[in-house]
Amino acid sequence: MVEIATLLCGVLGTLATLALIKIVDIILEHFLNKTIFGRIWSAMTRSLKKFRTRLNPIVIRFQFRAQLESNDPLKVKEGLAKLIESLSEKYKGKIVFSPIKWTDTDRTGSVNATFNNREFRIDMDISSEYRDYDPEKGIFEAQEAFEVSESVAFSIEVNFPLQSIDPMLLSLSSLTNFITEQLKEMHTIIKFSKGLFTLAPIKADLTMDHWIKEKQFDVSLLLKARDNILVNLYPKKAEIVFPTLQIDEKVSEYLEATILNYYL
Amino acid sequence: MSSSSDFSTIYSQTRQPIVGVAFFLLPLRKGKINFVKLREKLEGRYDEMELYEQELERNVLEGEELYVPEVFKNEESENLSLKTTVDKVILTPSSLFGKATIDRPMTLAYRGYKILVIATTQVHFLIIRDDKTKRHYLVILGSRANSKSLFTSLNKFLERIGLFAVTAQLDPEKIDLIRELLHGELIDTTLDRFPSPKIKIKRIIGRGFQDEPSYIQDASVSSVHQHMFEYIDHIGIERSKRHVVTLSEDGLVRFYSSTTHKEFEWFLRNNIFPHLKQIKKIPEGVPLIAFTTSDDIFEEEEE
Repeated sequence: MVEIATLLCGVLGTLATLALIKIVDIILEHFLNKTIFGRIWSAMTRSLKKFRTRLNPIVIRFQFRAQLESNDPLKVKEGLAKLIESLSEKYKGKIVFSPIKWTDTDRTGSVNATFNNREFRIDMDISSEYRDYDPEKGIFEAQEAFEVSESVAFSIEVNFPLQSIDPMLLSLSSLTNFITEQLKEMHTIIKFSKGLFTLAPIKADLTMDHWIKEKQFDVSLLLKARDNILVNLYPKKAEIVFPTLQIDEKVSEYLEATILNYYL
Repeated sequence: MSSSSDFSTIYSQTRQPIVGVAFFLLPLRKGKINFVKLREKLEGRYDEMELYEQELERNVLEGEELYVPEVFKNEESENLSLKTTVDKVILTPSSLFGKATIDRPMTLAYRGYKILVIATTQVHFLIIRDDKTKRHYLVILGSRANSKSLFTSLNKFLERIGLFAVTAQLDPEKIDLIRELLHGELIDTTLDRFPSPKIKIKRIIGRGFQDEPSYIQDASVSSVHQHMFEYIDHIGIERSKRHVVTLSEDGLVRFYSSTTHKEFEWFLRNNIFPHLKQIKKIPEGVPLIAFTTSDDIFEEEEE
């Protein structure tokens, strides 16, 4: 009987402490717009979640597109093989590339690059389109329609524990830089797209309204920051878009915040 | 051939839809271009490029015969030639306005024959010095294909007198900035270079969609390749004019609404030149000769 009373006291005491902490937080939030214990609690869970990524690494994909002069898709394929060959030669000992694997359609090539003890999977998608013969462009009507390629979409996938986000981004940034510089060397006309990070799956609950929750709508959220960086939240993925291919500290700041808030 | 006064009417008064591609005109040596001398040098220039029979035959399918009508044959040479002539150049108060004739070959199929046809096209051009950017521009007033062929031939003339034209670029942000500055209402936009492999290009057609969330979302991930928009030119309160214009990444500017070459020139000066970017240098192989002869087109820059 005494034991139960002690236990009850203990439970009540804990509950009272928690309630007190909550009340203090509410008062602090009301007057100072700050919470102390809440912050400590979220900091604790955060470090635990961060730690967990050592065993269960974060998977991220970085994508960009290179627009080149119009060419036969097979010529573009040859060009990409040459690109990897040149990079492998140029950064011998620094980066190790696996042989390129092409899909049956010859439109997607995959290669693994080991750089700074981390493996990056690079997918290269050759975009192509069919065009009608344009009498203004050539003398002869050789074909009615033909296939041309004007761009290649690069996807670089990497997994990493959160602790090593900075060295990972540094390597990714260098790798992107090596690829783009080599492309510039090989092509006279070249334009690059914006950079896009995709993080999936995410745990974002954007259903702020009861009705949205009830009807199970897919909600997306577009967040545009002043630094020209954009965060798109979709039900299953988050995208971070930035204007150039330079992965700077601003980009890494947004990326880390997205990981902490929606991925972990 | 039209007289000078007729030709200056074409420049300042004839209203028509106009399309032009802007290029940078680079002087091969320091100095200001003397437009009077440049006009003299350009007018009447003639260039010929041979079109070889073998090259023609190669493109004729088996069982077909290439037929070349007499009118296209050359008296002196076996080979056919494609001519470029600069027919007329006038000095306007602010620029040089010229007309060139170019030949373009094409083939037509006719019951077992391939008939070669050389079509002649007249293309106008402008040479402008902009005091604000302190640079010279060549604007070829024609479609992309016509401007490309005249650009190649015209450069052969220009090279000999110490000038060289190079392609220009309007960056995607600049295309949108120009639209914004003119309060343009979007009509037709091509968004290019989406970063992921699944969607490459999107085209949006409508009216005034520049503030629509779906457009903003697409535009935030991609790059503007081309904008067609409508803007009101407030010349005076009573004479506001509505224009529909297309701006493209490669420096192409197209007016769908009727305009004069003179107005087109001023549109470029005020809205395009300040944002145009040079992406190419003078190619190696173009001789950088010091032009010091008496008929030099350059004069000392005024301090």
